[in-house]
Amino acid sequence: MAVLNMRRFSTAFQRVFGKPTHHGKPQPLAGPLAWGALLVAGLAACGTQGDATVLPDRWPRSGLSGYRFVDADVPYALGRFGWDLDEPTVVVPVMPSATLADARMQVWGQMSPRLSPEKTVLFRAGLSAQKPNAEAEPDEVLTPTQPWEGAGLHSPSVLALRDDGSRQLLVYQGQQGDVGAAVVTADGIDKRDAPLISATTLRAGTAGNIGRVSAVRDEDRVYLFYTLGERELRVAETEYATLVRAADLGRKETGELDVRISPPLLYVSAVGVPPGESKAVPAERIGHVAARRLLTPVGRVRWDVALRAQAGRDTVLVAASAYAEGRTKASIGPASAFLPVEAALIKTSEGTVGAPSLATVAGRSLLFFGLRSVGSQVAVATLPQ
Amino acid sequence: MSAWAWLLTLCGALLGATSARANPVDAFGLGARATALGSAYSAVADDTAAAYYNPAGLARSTDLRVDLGYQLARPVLNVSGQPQDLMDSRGLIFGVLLPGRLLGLRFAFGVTLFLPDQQATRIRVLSFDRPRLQLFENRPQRMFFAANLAIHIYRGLYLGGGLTFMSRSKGVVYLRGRVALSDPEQSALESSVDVNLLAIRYPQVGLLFEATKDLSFSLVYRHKFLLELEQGFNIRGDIGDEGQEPLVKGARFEQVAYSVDLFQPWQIVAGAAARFSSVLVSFDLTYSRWSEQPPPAARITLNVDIGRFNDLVKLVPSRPYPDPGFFDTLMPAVGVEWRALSNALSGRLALDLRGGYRFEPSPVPEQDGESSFGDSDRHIVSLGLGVELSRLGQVLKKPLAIDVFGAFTHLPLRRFKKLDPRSLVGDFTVGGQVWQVGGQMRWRF
Repeated sequence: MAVLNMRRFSTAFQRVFGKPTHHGKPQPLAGPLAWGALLVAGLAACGTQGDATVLPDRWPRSGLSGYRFVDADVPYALGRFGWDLDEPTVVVPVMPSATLADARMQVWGQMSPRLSPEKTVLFRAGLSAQKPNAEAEPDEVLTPTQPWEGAGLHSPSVLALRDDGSRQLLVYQGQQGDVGAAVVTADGIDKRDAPLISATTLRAGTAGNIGRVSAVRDEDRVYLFYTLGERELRVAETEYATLVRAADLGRKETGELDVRISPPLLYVSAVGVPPGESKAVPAERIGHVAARRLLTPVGRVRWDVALRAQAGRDTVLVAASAYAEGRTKASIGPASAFLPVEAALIKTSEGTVGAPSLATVAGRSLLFFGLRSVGSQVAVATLPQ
Repeated sequence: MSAWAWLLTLCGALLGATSARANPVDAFGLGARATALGSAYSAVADDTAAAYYNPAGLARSTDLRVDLGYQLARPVLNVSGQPQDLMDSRGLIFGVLLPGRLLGLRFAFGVTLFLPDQQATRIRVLSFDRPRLQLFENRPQRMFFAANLAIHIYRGLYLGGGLTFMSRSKGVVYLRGRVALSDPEQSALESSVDVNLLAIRYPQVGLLFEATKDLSFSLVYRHKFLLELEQGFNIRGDIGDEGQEPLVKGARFEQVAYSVDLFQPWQIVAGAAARFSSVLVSFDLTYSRWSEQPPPAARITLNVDIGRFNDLVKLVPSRPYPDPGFFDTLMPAVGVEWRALSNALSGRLALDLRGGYRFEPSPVPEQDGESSFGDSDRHIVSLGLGVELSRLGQVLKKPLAIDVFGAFTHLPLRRFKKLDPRSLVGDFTVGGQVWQVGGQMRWRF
């Protein structure tokens, strides 16, 4: 027969907590150890009140889709009365700030008087990463002065010549798609007289028109991404030192930069509009490319291009991406092919989307893009946390 | 009931139990002494922590025991350098061990509870592609309650086993009535809710052999645990406006979501402990069958019947998720306890210093596809102190043990690469630390 010694348990309990009196009330607790035991139990019991904190997902994302306006009521970063703004390019300091609150960035772009859309000039504005939807008014910084530039300038890209940002190389396009350069310092902007690369070179023997050029440095090389004939993505590749020397030689230098043009890296038909949806159809046009090079957390290089795709009346912003792996000396461009992401960078019904630009500032992923409703301004979106 | 009937009932319960085990005790240990010894405790256990480490150890004790303590573990993990908001695992430890005799054999019954401060169980089911720290989210957030019986079979040979209890939920929301077409607010639906918290039991059994008074061997089996949730809704009614002939009579829409919230693999532990004068050395080797980990995501089934309009509705079946491909793991642990002081203060005080190390390899494979389950190997170093107070008067005639411990887990930085550059999560790294502290009092009567 099983005998569980409950009497022994009862005795031990009474030793610690005191025997009940014949009135049924317990005597005072016997000994400080019992008080200690009660204290431990009490503290533990108080801790069991619970904590219903909702855990946010603080897992970093690659930033290739799913952007939302920083503030749906105040979606614009930049605007100027009577002007249309587009083609933003974000310049993040080479030595980034430690915190989001301190982080500042430059946004370059193009703007034109609403009544003279062909007379585009380049603008520049400073923004805070913490509150990028400041609706700031940009400054006009560069106007066309050379014959090759035509009536307007567009597609600014900025490469840092010094780590502190005090000297920058501005790459831009004239009206016909030729690419020019200028050196930007605190004293002003020193523009090269002749184009660096002609539109004819970029066409690579075709008759297609040249889309927005986006210049990105990759160590000793510079890649200029652009769309050709609104049907394919190409890259013009040159050496960084050669580019800097050509820009530095001054305004009298007339020779064209030696570049190599890649084969198509992305075809228009590979992009679905709207991306990833069952009713998606192949895009009819792609353009307004903005490229970026980033180092993933494991230390490998990934290239992203953000672009605008159109099919029928639908216009969307979409990204395409590639790893810089398996390249040889004979290869042209940072990758052999870009794969389009099957989700839009942003879904919006606020207006027609223009040219995009991606940036990560102090750990915050930002998407700037032109957004046209009555006029065109630069909107800003971020990845939801 | 006869003793054999009790035994048969126990065996039946063990065999009939549903699969189970997922708890913070696996992750962070149970009790101050055991954790300080690096959880190399299966051949050492003789207190209420035996309920987890080796139920056979319960029968070693001839004393009635009451253990009470508190322990806390704080994970400080980074994903790609970004600190993650993970919850502490902290709570009260309580255990009672009652010795007795059965057919002339010594036996003991023990119950042990780990009651977390925050959640008795944490249920958080994410979509398959959502990134997560798989072993640090739900796993450390649950109650642990085990009841075990152990018998001293023969000369230094002990056998023990028992059940750990958990519950799962199964619920359906019912809606009955009429759904108005032209004005949904005119719908007349009655609702009822049927939710059950169903008991889950899962077994553990252990064997302990004292080869000599200074040398012990152990073998423990812990069964696996799968906490499935089943929740859904069921709508039946007519579709049409009030006062008119319904467009559809007896329409039906049912949804059931099955999801796996917690999983812990079955485990086999082999251990040994040897005492060399004032030094006790213990060793455990644990095999964990992680390869049975199911996809941690919800499966949803939908059924709809709206009569002549059925052709207009196409329901996409819930897609099958790929096998997460976890690896089985082999986890070594070693502990050392040194009796630094014995019979101090005229035999009233004894002092033990403890240390331990455990290596827990990550069962998570490379995450180069759709899933992003972050994890890394764990190196756990622990230190502890035990004070034994004797001759405390009439209140406690047997020594009172007071134990404290601290442990540090290092997760070296692990790099995960995605094959597809378009991955929305992208490459990521996981690394960090876990800090643990705790204290416990153990009474013997």
